[in-house]
Formats: sequence, C-alpha cells, structure tokens
Amino acid sequence: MVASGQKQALVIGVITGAGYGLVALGLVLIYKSSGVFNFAQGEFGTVAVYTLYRVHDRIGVPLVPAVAIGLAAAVAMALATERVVIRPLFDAPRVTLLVATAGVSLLAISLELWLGEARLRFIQPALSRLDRVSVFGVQVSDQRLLVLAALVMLAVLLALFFSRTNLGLAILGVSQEPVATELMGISVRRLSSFIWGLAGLLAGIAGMLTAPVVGSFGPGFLTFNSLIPAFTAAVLGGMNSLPGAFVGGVVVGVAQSLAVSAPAFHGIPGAGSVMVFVLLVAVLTVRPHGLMGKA
Amino acid sequence: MTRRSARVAAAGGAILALGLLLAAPAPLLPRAAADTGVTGTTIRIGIHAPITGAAAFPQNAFDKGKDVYWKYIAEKGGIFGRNVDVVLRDDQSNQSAALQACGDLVQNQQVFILLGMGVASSAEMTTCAAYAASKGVPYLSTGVGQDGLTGKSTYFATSQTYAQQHPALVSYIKNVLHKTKLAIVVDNTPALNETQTSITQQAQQAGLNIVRNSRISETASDSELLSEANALRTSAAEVVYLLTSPVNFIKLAQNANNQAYNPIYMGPGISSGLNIVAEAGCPAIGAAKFFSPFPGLDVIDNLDPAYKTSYQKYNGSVPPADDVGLAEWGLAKLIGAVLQATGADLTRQSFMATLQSGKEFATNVYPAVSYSSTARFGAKSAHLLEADCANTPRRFKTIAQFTTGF
Repeated sequence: MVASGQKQALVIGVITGAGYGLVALGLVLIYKSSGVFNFAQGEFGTVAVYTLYRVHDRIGVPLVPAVAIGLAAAVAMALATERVVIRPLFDAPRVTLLVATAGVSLLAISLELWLGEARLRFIQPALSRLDRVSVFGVQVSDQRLLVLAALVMLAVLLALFFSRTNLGLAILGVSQEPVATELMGISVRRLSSFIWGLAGLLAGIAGMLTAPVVGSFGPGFLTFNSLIPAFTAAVLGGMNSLPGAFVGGVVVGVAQSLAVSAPAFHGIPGAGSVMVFVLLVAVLTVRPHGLMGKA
Repeated sequence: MTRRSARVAAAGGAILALGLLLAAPAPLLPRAAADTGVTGTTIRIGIHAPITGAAAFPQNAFDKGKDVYWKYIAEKGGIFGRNVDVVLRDDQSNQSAALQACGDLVQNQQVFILLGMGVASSAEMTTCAAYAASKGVPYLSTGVGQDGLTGKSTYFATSQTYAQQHPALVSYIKNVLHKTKLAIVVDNTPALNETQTSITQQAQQAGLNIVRNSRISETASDSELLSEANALRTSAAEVVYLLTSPVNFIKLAQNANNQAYNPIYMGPGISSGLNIVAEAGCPAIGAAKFFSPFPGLDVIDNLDPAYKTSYQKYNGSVPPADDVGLAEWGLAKLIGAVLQATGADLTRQSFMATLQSGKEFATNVYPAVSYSSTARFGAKSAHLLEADCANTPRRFKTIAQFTTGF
C-alpha cells in the first residue's frame, strides 16, 4: 500500500513534471527533425515571459494581445537563431551546433541581465483559483491544471502532426534523408525555419504557463529551472518521441518529488537534482533510446 | 678570518637575529598593512553584498545608498577632515564569489576595513571573515550564524546574531502570539547548523511543540518547495520559523498559499524583512514577522530624521524606494562613530583597539553595540518588523524597536 506522503509526492511530481514536459516537447521537436540538441530552448521561453511581463504588467496591454506578442517574440528569437546560427553551420558536426545553441543561450541570459537587471520579476497566474481540485490532499491550482492540459494537448497534436500530415512527414523525411527530400522538391531550408519557429512557439507557451506557477522569473529563468530536467525527460521518453517527452517529464517530476519527500533523503541538499542525474545515467545505461523512443 | 671563525660568526649572527625577532613585541596585525586605505584626505572602505544571486535585490539599490551617509558627514567636515570612499563588490550570494570580492577589495582596492551585508546564509561572511583575519583586516558584518565566525581575530558583528535573536523570537511566539505548534525551516548550509540547533533548543525550553524541523536547498526547485509546503500544511504548524533566502521564502509562502495553508511566518533578521519581500510576497506571506538590525521606513523619521532628507538630497530628490539604503546608512553611521572615537591617528590597530575598548556605540538606527577582545557579537537588541500587505505600497512596518524580549 502506498503511504499518504508518497501519494502526495506522486501528485506533486506529476504537476511539477508537466512543466518539464512542456520544455522537453520543444527539445524533441528540434532533435527529431534536425538532430540538434538545442540548449537555447529555455531562453526562447524566457524571452517570451520577459516580453509578456513588459507589455502586460508595465505598458498595460491587455492579457490576450500581450500573450500573442510574447509568443511572437519567442518565435522571432527562434527564427533568428535558425537563420543566423544554425543555417550557416547546418553541415557542421552536430556537436558544433550544440555548442552554438549553448552560446545563443548564454548571450540571451547576458542580455536579460543587462537589460532587465539581476532581479526577480513577479507574475500573477491568469487562472487564480487554487482549490478547485484536490488529489490525495494536495490542492492543484487551476494554473497547474492548465499546464498539465496544455502538455497533453500539445503532445497529442504534435504526434498527429508528424504522423498524419504531409508537412509532418516531410519534416521527418528531412531529418532522415535530407538530400533525397530536397530532390523530391521539398525545401529543406524552409522546413528548418518552420521547425525552429514551432519550437520557439512551444518554448513561449512553456515559459508563459510555468512562470506564473512558480510566481517569479529572472534572467535565464527557464534554462536554470527546467532545461536539465527537461533534457532528462526528453532522453527518458526517447529523443524522437513526442509523447515520450510528456511521459519523461512526469517521470522526472515524480522522481524529484519522491527524492525530496522520502525520509531516507531528508537533510541531503539537492536530493531532487541528484535523483534527476541518477535517473539520466540509469536510462542511458539500460535503455539508451528511452522509454518510448525507437532504437 | 678562518673558515671556522666565519662559521662561528655566522651562527652567532643567526642566533642574535632570532633573539631580536623573538624579543620584539608581536604586532596584532601585519605592520605593513596597518594604515592601508587611509590617506590624509580619504578613508577607503570595502563592502561586499549580494547584489545578484539568491537575494534578488534591486540592482542599483546598493549603489544609491552606499555613499549617502558619507556625503552627509563630508558636509559636516568629514572624519577628522577625511572623506570616506566606499568600494562595493557583488558576492553573488555565493561563497566563491564572496572570496573573490573580498580578495579584490583587500589586495587590489587596498581598503582600510571590510564590511559585509548579507542574506540568510552566513557562508559568504564566514568565508570573508576567515580571509580578513588572515590578512589582518578588520571585518564587520551584520549578525548572522555564529558558526565559523567565533574566534576570528578581526571580526565584529554589527547586530545581533541569529542565536542572539532567538530568545526574543520564542518569547514573542509564546507570550504575544500565544501559539504552540512551531515548524522550523532552514536553508541547507553548514553555516546554519548552530543556528538550527539554537532555535530548536530555545523553542523546546520554552515549551513549544516542534511539529516539523527541516532544511531546504539554498536554491530549491519548484518540486522541493511544493513538497515542503505540503509537509508544513500536514504538520499543522501555526508558526513557521524561517531562515532562508528571501526568494525561497517567497516561493515557499506562495506554494503554501496555493495549498490553502497560511501560517504565521517568523524569523531572525537580515533580509526577509526588507520591503522588496513584502512587495513580491504579499499576500501569500501574510503578516510575516522578521527581526531586523534596522527599523522600517515608517519610524525612521522619529529615530533619525537625517536619513530620508539626506537620501533624497544625494539621489536627485528621489525618495528612498526601498530600505536597502537604510541598512547601508545605519551601518555607515556605526562605522562613522567608531572612526570618530578612534581619532585622527587612524590605523587598523587603533581602529580595532577602539572597537575592543568596551565603549558603547549607539546610532539610533542599528542597535547599540559594545565589544571586547573576546566578545565580538556585541549587540543586545533588534527591531521587529511585520509585513503590511493591506496597504500600498506593500511594506514592512515596525512593531517593536530595540527590543530584547516580550
């Protein structure tokens, strides 16, 4: 029988893991279509949150148009990254692209520090009701439910997109046989822009939904809070499986939560983070292609 | 001279030199460093503070406030004709960065003394105190945990340490709040081990029921904070003693509020009672109460009317946006009092001797302090602040001044 504390840890893990899953979706999307580990994914989301904060909280633009502007900023940053950094290096080894995206991330964090100061900004959730749902005694706020719903919906939609639409199949074709796909008359460059723009959109959604849950954000918010757990989630689920990102995010969240709440780990600093790395190493050793990925 | 007599002469000379060395009075501090940072016209002081990192203060708050008191004093003739030049460095709420900052201030900036302004974790101050002692540089900081600072030859606390604040804190819970169920949450750093033991013992001796006693990571994840909030709710603690970074506190309170759990938060001071915490944490932090070395802005006009007018005068007529400047003002005022008492012949030795003389230094902002050669935690009282979430701007108000207990 599962003890009450462990049940609560499971609930906490699922609702915090949903945020990791959202970021992991974007990572998988880029990797699935181009084989690039995108370390800048977190910053696409952070830029969206900064933009939302600036135009909504500071300038006073209503929420819906402010969200649209924030998402547009994330997409614009992703497109700029693709055009200025990724495309010139497209034929370079993948590790070069990995380092390049890490460079984009560091540059973005530096700019956020420079323009936005090294201070936390506080942001209110769009959905403020806290006590609608209670599971095993843990109250799940409406904002957290929204994150969970968005994650499930986006994972399913993207899975359908890649399996049922010509554009989705074309993107998969580019990732597996770029030359053959080009010979079929499909523009690899245009598809690349589309994929990065979509990844930027996903990161923007992740940032805007998770920042109000945490209640605050600062320079490098999504990178520092979520990128490592999200990478673990993506690897755990399988780097080429979008539903795997969802499953991986939840598994990482639950592992973190159990490690934090387990009496055996009480008093150990960073037990949750340690558990994430243990999980990552275990998955890479036992099942390198992940829980739902294809070998 | 034969080879034999040369050897005898050399040996004799070595013994004589050794004898002179041993017979000479041992200086308290490295002699070459005694008047470093002091010229005929200026005294250079170094401050390390968590401008960035876990504390998340407004970036320019420290810069705006660091010179205000010294400009005010300069207009009155300075410290025996000398002006004070303050060099500020960011310790990033990080031990390694703190060591670099203090090293830079001492070795490159050649400061006369070091001052530390900190947050919940005293690790940065412990690091700088050890470094300052090794270099013979007087080091004063706001009171934090006593672990690692006890016995440091050049260290002096400018306000009560956490352990010194615990008797008043426990008596407030028992005699004013009339609560018995207490939870203790402390950032997980070795520098706070003694502090956690101290509050545990004090609470038990007062008959309080400690329903949870836990530690959280200094940069706790969302999952950890939600788990902790849930555990606190399950424990049914009426009062939560907190000694964490302001960021951890705010996020923990928000997570607890999300669980419809709103205990009374209370803790020792330095930074959780700053107005930025109320601005960011209300309404989740409720009527949180924190001890503080300095009062709130609501009573400063009564205690020290010169602060607000001086701050506005030297910052383009802009009124103090937060209380970081007040923290700097109070600290500078205390240092100014010690410098005045030391006299015109200023060296590190004479400054230390003045501090250790047993003389009481009162500023009406920070609590009065007095030290001896062995007693370096020399403050006897503190202010108690309470978050006022009902009014705008959201600030902490002062509910007790220079208090020693309830």
